[in-house]
Amino acid sequence: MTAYALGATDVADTFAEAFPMRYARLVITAATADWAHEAARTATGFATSVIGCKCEAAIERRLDADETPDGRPGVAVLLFAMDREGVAKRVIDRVGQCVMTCPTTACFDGLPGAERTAALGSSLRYFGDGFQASKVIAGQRFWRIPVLEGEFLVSESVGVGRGVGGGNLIIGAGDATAALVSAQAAAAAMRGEGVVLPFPGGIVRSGSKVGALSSKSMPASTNHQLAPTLRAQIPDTLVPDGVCALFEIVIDGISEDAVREAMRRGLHAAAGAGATYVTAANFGGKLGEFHFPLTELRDPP
Amino acid sequence: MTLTLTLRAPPPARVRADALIPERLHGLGTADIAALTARCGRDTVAVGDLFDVSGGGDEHLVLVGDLRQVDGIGAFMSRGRVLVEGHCGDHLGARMSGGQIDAHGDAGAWAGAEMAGGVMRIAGHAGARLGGAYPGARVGMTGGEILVWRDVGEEAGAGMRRGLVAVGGQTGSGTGLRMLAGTVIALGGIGPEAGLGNRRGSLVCGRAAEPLPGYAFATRFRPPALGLQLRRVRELGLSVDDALLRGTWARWSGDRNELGRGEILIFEEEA
Repeated sequence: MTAYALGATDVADTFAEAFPMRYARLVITAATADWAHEAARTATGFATSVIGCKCEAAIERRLDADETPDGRPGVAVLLFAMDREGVAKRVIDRVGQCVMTCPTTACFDGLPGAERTAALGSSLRYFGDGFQASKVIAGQRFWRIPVLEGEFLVSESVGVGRGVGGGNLIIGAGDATAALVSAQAAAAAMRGEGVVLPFPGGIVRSGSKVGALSSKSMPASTNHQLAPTLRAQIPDTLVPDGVCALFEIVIDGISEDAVREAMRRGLHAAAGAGATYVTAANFGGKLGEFHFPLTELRDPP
Repeated sequence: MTLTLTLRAPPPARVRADALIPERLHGLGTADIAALTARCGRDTVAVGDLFDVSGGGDEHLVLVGDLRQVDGIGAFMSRGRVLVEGHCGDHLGARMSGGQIDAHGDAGAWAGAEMAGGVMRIAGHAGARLGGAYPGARVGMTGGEILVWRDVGEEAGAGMRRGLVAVGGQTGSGTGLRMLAGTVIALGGIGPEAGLGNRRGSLVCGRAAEPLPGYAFATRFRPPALGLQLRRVRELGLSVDDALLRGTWARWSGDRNELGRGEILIFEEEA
């Protein structure tokens, strides 16, 4: 059912359902912006969904040299997991394998002063095989781990905050190209401080539902109700007439408000880029603590 | 309200000012403070006899005058701020654990000795054993930050375990003597025999220097932790040349007569 129209875009009368998550913000710096980006890109690989990747992570934004602790260009990364322990495990894995290994990098806590923390340098230091050293600078401890290039500098711990994961928009149009153009416009508009879009390019083509019709062991399976090729095959299709392709954008954010405002930006950008239909995924409101009705996003950002 | 103590006249003997710290004076009125006593040589004298007292006890204490005969200013303090408008005697901020001391003149020996926390900034020179260990003690400074704008005396950072000492000028001989850890930065260069008995400490020398034979050359690189420390020093007000942040440093490891995990970082060149 359509709630309202934004120009030629019908907006469904539904809501996105999201969940409480825990997150860490890593500030990765390097000698050049390209190396910082390379480390961040590698560290956020295979981190699209907690279902299959144990965490969701993506680049939040690039940082100018004057925004980072060591005065070098950097990248802020947000990493989400279901609980603090999950964040702690994934942060150590990813910084250890993807950031420490990358030339010229250093890694800092992007949430200083957070109430809860997860170990980072205090665990990674053991890679130094007893040759590691620490420095306390302005009240924060950093570990210096000797590496082939010189030293890898890493914060002892990272702050862990309460975030929101699973905000979403589903954007459709008359053909796949038009739908993708609209989704790309939406993703570009949604990115910003406090939110990340963990899927490739921020866009999901394989939107899922919880569980499966054909198996009890599958934690998730294709969202068949929104698969256009099944429109004539299933009785409960949700694909409107005239829509032949849809893409989903999943948003993880540091707060409910950050997710809501990202959705607002995305909705209006998609409408402006030619989307003919926008809806959202939910689970009947029974699973997620946070609900984002599309009717609340009608006003432009 | 700020409490201001202005020295009336040069005292007849050395004065111990340990009691004059913000946390002990907090809440006291002018008369109460004037009635407090301090050691002056062999005698005990009223604070009001030594200083003109104005204002009330607060977290902010200002001492004015040529205080070279006044020792222990800010010693043992754990919070608040002490501003010294003039030169200080010995033991400035010794064993302090928090708060901030700003001295606009020179400081005597033992400034920040066995300091555990807080920030001390000395705009002039400082004497011997800055942040050092008292005789008989193995451990000197265990935390906090000391900045000195000009030169300091011998054995700065002796026995240091943690913390940061940054000197805009040169340090005297024996800098970092028997250091356990921590960092001493001498932007104007370290004196002779630096780092003798150093175990894990970092000595940073902004000028060319010849390390002791107990040190061995390791490499040339840009130490990432030093970059953070120099930025912190700059943030606290001491001028740090951009060349030091961009440049290459030689790392010498030592003292090999001890644990050998210490280092002397010597600035080589701007990249």
